[in-house]
Amino acid sequence: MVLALRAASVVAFLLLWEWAARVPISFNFPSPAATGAALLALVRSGAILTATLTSLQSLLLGFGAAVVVGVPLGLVMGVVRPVGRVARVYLDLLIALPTAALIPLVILSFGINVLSSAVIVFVFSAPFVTMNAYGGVRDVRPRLVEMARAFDASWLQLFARIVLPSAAPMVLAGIRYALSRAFVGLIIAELLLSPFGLGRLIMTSRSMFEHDRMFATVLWTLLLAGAALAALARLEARLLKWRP
Amino acid sequence: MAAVSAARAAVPIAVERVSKRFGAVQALVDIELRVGAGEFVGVIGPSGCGKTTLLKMIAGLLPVDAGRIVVGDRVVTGPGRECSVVFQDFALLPWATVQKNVEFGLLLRGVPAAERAQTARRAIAKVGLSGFEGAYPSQLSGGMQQRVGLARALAVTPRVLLMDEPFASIDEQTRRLFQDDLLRLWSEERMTVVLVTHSMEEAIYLADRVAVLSPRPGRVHEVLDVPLPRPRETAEVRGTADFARLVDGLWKILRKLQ
Repeated sequence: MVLALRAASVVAFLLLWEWAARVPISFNFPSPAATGAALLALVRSGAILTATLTSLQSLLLGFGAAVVVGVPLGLVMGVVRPVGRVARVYLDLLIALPTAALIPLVILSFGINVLSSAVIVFVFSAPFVTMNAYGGVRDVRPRLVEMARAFDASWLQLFARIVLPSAAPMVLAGIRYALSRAFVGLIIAELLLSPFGLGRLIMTSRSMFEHDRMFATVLWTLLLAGAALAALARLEARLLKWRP
Repeated sequence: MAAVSAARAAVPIAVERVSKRFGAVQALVDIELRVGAGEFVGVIGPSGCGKTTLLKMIAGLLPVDAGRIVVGDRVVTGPGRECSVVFQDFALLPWATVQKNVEFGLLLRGVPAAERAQTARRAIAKVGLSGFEGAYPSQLSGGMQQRVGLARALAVTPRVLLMDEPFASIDEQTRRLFQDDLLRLWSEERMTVVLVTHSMEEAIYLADRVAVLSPRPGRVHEVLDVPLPRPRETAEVRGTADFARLVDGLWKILRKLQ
């Protein structure tokens, strides 16, 4: 049932796209077929794969750092309440911040390179990882802590056996949301930084009015993000199989 | 006494002139209560009289403000290994199977995995949940979840079992069967039991003595003897005139306290 509905939604989307390309809204609005052909050509020439590898470096670096820094930070904020209350303000500001506006500053500080993009990916994704880890700890049922304490649990046992597993669903949800944010950050960074990656491919195609190529790259990025998110969702479902 | 049985023997509890306040509220004043080794004592009183607070202090989960509590030969200053607690809302780990939930206390105490698994399986069998080892709490009824909570408490072979309204969120039929099972387990395991409840029938049916607390501030108003013969779970004690008379007597005390 769900599968059929999914297939139908894809078909409907493609039809709508085809119709939009024929209307024509704009003379250079590419049809699904043209986009597909451009994507195939990009894969054959290897251009999109090279760009993807470059982009993935920034993504993994930035997103990896966001998880490695964000999760422990959020957990500490949740466990040590005063730290949480202070850090929370900055986190709220960071989330509200128009991050793209920071990019020139990042370029000035780090130069135009893979590291710059990674820093921007980090700034885009880390606050959400941290916020959810913090929320996860704050949501721990006090009764479970009391139960473990009644068994004379040590501080470390409380943390490892009660706090961590309690917070796990929110931590994982935060990581998944942060991954989609990381992709957004990556493309924005590369569009503005330009010299490499998928963002550059989008920019150069656009400047040469090769809109089918531009669309193909955007579609490719979407597929990449979709695959990564689906993989994370599967991992999440496996880790949290106890949930009704 | 042999070493093995000594390690498992029930111990007495002495609550001596214990007081507790929360901010401006004097919760408990000069509580005196002695529970003999292997005795089953019920604690009852109007809601807000501090009976759960008293239980938590015996468990070492809350500090006393004045007086002291002695469990066995240990003055309670924090949670200890003599006591197990059964909670009203079961307090099961939702991410762990029945087996892992029952193993939890053993895990915290550093018992090796193989022994842990075996001990837990035995405890699960005792409460009648064999076959459900792999189930998650969310897949079980309230009564079954509380059986898991009881198995977890029993798995560490406590000398004292502290129960905080364990049957309050379980339906009546399940409750009666469960109460009988509890009495059977208590006679087998020879533990000291303190049961906090708001059900008069439950207190009379289960306990040797019932401590009645008065509200705000909580004091021990009266300790009622329950001279019903044991084993009660096999005889039809609930239908006897003696049982009705005792419940009625308890109601008369409680009514004056409201």
